[in-house]
Amino acid sequence: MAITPVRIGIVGCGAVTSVCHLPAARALREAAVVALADTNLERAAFLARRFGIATVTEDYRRLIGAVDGVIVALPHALHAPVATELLRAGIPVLVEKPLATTTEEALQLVAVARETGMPLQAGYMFRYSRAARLVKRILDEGWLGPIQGFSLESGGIYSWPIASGFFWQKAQAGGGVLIDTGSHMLDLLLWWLGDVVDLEYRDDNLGGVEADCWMTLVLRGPAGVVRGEVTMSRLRRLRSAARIVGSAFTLECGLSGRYPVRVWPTAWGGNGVTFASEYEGGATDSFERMFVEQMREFARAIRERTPPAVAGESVLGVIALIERCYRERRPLEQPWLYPVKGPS
Amino acid sequence: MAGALVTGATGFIGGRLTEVLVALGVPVRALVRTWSAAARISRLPVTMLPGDVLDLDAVRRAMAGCDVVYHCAVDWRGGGRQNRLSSARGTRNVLQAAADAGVSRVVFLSTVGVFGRSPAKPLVTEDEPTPHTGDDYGDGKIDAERAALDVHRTRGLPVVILRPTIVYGPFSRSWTVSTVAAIREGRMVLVDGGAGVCNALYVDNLIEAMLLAARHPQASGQVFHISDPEVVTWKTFIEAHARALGEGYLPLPEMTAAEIERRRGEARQARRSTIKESLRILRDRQMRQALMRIPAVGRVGELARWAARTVVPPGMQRRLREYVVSATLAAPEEPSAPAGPALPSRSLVQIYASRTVFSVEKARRVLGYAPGVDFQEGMRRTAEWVRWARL
Repeated sequence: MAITPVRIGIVGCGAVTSVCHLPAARALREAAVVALADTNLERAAFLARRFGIATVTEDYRRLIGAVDGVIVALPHALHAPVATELLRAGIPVLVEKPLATTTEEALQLVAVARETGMPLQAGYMFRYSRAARLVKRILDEGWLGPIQGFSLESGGIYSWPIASGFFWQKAQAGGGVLIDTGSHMLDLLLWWLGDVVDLEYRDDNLGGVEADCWMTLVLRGPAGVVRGEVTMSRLRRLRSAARIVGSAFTLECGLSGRYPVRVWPTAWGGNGVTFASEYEGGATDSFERMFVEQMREFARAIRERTPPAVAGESVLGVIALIERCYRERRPLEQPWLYPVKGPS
Repeated sequence: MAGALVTGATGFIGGRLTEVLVALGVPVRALVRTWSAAARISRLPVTMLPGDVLDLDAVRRAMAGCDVVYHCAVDWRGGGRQNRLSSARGTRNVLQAAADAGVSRVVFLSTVGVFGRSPAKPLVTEDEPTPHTGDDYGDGKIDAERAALDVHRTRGLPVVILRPTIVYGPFSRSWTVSTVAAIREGRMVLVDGGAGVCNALYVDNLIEAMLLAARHPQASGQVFHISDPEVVTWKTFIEAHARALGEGYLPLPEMTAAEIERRRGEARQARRSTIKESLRILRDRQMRQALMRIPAVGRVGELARWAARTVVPPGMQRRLREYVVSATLAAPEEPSAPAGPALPSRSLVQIYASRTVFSVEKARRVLGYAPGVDFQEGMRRTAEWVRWARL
């Protein structure tokens, strides 16, 4: 039976739209992107030509009535206000991460979704990763034994092909690597291990946005209270993996490339034999597939008018955590910032 | 306080300069060509303006309200010739905009590469002439220097030219990151036992010189060599980087420049023979037929032949055949040896083997250049960064 694809509009034609959302839609029969909106009409028209999209507009309000759902991929500070307006106009919305830059805005947005009955999906697509879902299951079923600690590292020399400078402005981006990469990474940790009990947070921000950050986190969940460290960077290559140490087994989940999950007896130390995962019909995972699954879920939520699996309220925890980090931030040591004497 | 424009602020030297200027309370504007490269300066309260030094209007916009211009931009994207053209054209744009805006000082970052990779004299001062050497990077900077001095003469633009040497330290891709990577990957060789002169310059010392050049009344219209006053050998420099990784990386293999050249020739010869042999096998009818009998190879071969005949016009088929053959036969510039460590490039060997010292006497005398970081301290800081950066 032929499926009539849902008609999707995208507001914001930056890197995530061109690299992730548009290719994801092209891979699906359930959804078709039919309109693009951006204040930079030239950029919108460029992507429209590349992906064969009929309508481009400078004003996202013109999407109302012309599409079945909208993906909001704007500068972070505009996520909540634009999504609110669209929900109120009766349009289901998928909001890129971060759902909002403050808890207050996020709560308001979630309330509007509830009030209007419109699906509000949060673009935290790592939740669709097979690897992340396997880790969740392993932890929920207690395979590792009592959890003793965790560590997560994610970082590389920044190369995302951003199309505008908003990303580097605190007022528009809400922050740096923490609110960007951290939205995904910390969301996974909370999903896997529970709610925040305590934290210490440091970053390298000197009046702009942070490029490197480090934190210790104490989380409480079904596995009990567990402490761990998180390091994220835009300036150096880190391991891009999460490790969770249980008394019986240790688990490591790769956070890039093919997202391998490995499990080995904790007693073997860090260099034991590793086991690759095969889960939910695939041995490997990919960044692209996560966006396809996210789009599929959005199309389903639009068609069925039911809340999506990763609904707005499910990411309130990570937004509150990031907000608390910024509030309690302390400086991170940067081992090259020695003073240089200026001319007298 | 009047602001400063930094071109090349997303790069190694411009990035460190921007950090220092911000720490000194100077409002900084940065001309940004590639947004994704701005992560380091995004930590700082700087105004980022989109644009390229090749776009005069963008340069003018970026310069608004600035009193001092630090021109550090360099274009590594294209090949050598592109680099030379953009270096000269970009600098002319910066000079023109600065002269029109009436800024009080332009500090232009050139290079001692204007003397080529291996100058003949043991001691080179700023009085030494700089004819083109055929090296695109150096020649582009020569053109840019001439343009700067010309605008100084004709329009009275207060411009200072600094020629830094081997700038190392945190975030130095050319001399710290690449040196460490070569050591870690077993590609490093001490040329002539590392006896060549490394005119090392710790990045913060260069920044100190740039700040002096921006202010000193006698600096205008002058050219200065900037290096650490202490001259070290390449052995000292490279081994210090190896120690930053751990003593286990020492000792490093040694080779003379002549031996490297001989091995390069042998490697080229060996590769040519391998290619010739492969082509001979493919030309052999029986061998081809045998290969095609392997089912997978046969299918791929059939498909490729069909696709080539159907889709590609005959003229292009011929050109493609020529291209494939020439690409297979052309030896790359820097072949690796069949055994032992990979060989450093020819230009790198010239730099490692050079015995030339660049005099900083003029900078000392005129600018009062007396940098605060000696080699030991510079490497201590560099090692600290190498560990942080997980190189």
